[in-house]
Amino acid sequence: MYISGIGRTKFGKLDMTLHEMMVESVQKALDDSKTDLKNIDAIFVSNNLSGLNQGQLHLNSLLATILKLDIPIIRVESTCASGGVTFYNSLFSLSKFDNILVLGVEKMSALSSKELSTNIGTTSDKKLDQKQGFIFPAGAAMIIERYEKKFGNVMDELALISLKNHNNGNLNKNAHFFGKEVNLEKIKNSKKLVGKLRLYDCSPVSDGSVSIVVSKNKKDKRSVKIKSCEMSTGPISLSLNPGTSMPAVKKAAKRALDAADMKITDIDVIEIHDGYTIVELITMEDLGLCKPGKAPGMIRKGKTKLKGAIPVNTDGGLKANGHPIGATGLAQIYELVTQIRGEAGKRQVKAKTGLAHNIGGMVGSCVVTVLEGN
Amino acid sequence: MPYVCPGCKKTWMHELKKCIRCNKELKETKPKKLKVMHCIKVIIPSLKHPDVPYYVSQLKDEHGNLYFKKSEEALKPGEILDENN
Ligand SMILES: [Zn+2]
Repeated sequence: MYISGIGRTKFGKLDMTLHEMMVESVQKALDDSKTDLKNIDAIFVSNNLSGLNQGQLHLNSLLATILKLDIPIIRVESTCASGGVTFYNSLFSLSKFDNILVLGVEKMSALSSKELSTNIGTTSDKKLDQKQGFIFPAGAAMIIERYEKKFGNVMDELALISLKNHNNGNLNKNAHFFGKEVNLEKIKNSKKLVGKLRLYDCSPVSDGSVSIVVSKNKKDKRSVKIKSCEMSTGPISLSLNPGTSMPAVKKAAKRALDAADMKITDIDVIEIHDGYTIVELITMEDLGLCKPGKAPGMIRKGKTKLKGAIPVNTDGGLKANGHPIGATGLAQIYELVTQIRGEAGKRQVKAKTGLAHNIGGMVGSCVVTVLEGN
Repeated sequence: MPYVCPGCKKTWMHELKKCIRCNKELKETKPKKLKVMHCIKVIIPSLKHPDVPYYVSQLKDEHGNLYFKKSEEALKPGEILDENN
């Protein structure tokens, strides 16, 4: 299985409807794949919140209407892991089809923060979390507290993660924060939202869409091989996972690396789902980049920067590239393909292989994908 | 609140009638003591929780079951909440 085309919109507060964003990313992915919609056998749509945010469900049929198609179109939802889970699902269909398109889209910016916070909250457990006022930033703040209790202070390192991702995002013209100068002082002095969690430890509210064309056979030398894509699930409520590690992440990563017959040290570039900076930090440990408690040291040494031993979130990650929920997992794939093809411009790193980590909840669903170039 | 299977002793935090593994009827248990593990101050309002700040604590009962609890006042980590009082 090969990725033959990628397309995306810019991420951020966009003056575009769901429809317009979908059409733009689809068109760009088809152009990149040098193919036509008539060669696409099926489409998989990833979205989380259109039912609540726009009052619009049945996106698969909406897409059929917009694109004037009657092929199978399937919509998948798995909160922030929607993109990864949709990608995972779509690959099974290649036993039947030759070329498919995987599309992710989210429109988030048009709502008040109260409405949006409520809508996003529906992806946590209604009884265990929502009723008790639990919100995801509180989960991130709890993980920070636990991590510090176990391994010592970490807020300086979290600020360095944020800074790295903003620096990378400033080299990515499609990123939400492109062109916005963010320095360490701004990050450290940003408003505390919950516990020690600062505004600049959190990913922004973004709109955006990404499309990926996946083909059974290799098309040309720009095609990138899907070595593996594996998934694991876990409890919906963070209350049921009181540690500083995410079991679903460890399992999905092991499954994906085993299926690819690779070790984490064989990977050249990584996309980590940094919805919160603490998640990037603990995921470095869960992926096996270092032992538990050692990620802060790696951050201080700059090992995950563009010129470091293992670059993480070269596109800016969720933090600076943005987090249009349904599109996020596919944006990670987009970046890995761009890096592996050697088309990442100023943020280019040396990469033949890449790994994407996409999570939903903390962590209720996790997809890990491994890609390899020629 | 936790529901325990008398057969396999597995615990659920959701109200279910029967154990999916043993088909035995689940029994609801009432925790006696809840230990405060963390307490986090929330200042982000949502439609269902418009009044901020409030606090969300992670609690653990004597059987190791875990819960979140909302409160208006901060709870002290390490504190034991006696559910009999
Ligand atoms: Zn049982």
